[in-house]
Amino acid sequence: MTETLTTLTSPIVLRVNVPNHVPSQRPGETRGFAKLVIVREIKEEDFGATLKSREGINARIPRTDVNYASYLRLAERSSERQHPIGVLFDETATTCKLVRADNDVPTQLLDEESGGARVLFEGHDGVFRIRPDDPQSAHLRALLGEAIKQHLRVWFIVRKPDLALLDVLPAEGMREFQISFVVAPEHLVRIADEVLRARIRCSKALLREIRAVAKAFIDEADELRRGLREIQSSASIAQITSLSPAEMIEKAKRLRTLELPNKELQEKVRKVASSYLSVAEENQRLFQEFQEKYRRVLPTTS
Amino acid sequence: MTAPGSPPAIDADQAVAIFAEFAAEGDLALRFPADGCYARTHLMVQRLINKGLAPTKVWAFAASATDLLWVANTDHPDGRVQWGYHVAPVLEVREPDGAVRELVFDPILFGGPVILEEWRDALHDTPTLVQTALGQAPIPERGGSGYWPGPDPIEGPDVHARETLEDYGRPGT
Repeated sequence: MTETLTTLTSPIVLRVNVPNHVPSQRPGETRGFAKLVIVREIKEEDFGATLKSREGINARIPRTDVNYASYLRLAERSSERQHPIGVLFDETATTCKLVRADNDVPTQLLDEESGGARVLFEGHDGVFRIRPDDPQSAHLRALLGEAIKQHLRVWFIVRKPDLALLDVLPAEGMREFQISFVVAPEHLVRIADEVLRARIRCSKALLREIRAVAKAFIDEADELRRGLREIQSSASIAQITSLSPAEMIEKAKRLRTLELPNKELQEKVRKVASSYLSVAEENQRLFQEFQEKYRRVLPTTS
Repeated sequence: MTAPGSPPAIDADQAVAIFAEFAAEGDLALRFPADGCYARTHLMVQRLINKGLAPTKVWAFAASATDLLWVANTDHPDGRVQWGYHVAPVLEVREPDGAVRELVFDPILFGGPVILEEWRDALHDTPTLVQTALGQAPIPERGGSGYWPGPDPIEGPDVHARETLEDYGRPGT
């Protein structure tokens, strides 16, 4: 059944009065990527050095690397000061580069026709960029937008010479969370819509149940997608309800083995009900995972 | 501009020699003009103070974020670099005719010290010029020690300047 699910993840920026920060974790990336991390431990061995970060990212720097000495110096600074550095992994995630992280208060985020953006800071004279093809564009925009609104300092790493931002991390007063959830795939939403509009020969009570589940299936998928769009468009506050009501879950369970005179319609109802349950169970699991992960840092009112 | 008790203006030959020193220094990352004028100025000012001189800083602020300062630069992918502002050290220099003038020391833009108007005109805009004494913020409402137009970097101006230029002096990421 999970083959019919589409997993969507998106970072959410919440304001929490806790001074430490949570790193921007984006698991599942398979392309090269850049991250800001704080080095916790440096272990020098025969082959080179292994760096362990507070964020759980490990990097191995071989002594044969021409930049070994400067990478080690950067890592030591990060460890001593507990300030971030940038770790850049290649596509295979086997080799990495370390780059210095800078900090400043962003002042302006200006959209460009290309789809990218220009970023100005209070202190830096240069014009920084968000590349139009950067898969993390929405993430960077959301973080910088929030920092501009709240007048907060951020840490950042750039590519030279065009000053393209590779990663951004709040330095103060703002915390970054990642929440994951799943939504029903479009083709099943269309089937649910067909079920909702179909003339089904069955008892009125059963018909109400079928339509309730089909409608909830469509509405919940729509609501999750709307929430995702809201966050991606840099909303400072977004609310997402990813949990399905218990009574609807019970109805969907009953419909999985439903018998109807029209076998084609029967299969459609069963598919929708099964998918509804899969989405509900997976989102319940992801929600618990989120709570567990951020248990110590979430505001007590949430 | 000279405060009572401050060092006298340097002569023109000395100004040229000081400028040549700056232009030859490898740690100012002069081949990376895209950013870092605040750090270059910080280091140059420290070196001028070490010589017993009394520099000030001149800041040029762009009219707006859509009307930025710029200079042509063949090393940059866009063929030019843009800045929200630009800053450089200033010294009083006694010309051969005896007149004292304020000259800007900006090895990113020029091959020698220049007068303020020439420096401003090179930035291709009609910037607002602000001149500050050391320790004075160019935009007071933003705060900071005058290292750049905002609160000082977390690691402090001295460390930030040194590490920024060390970074900008390395080959690209």
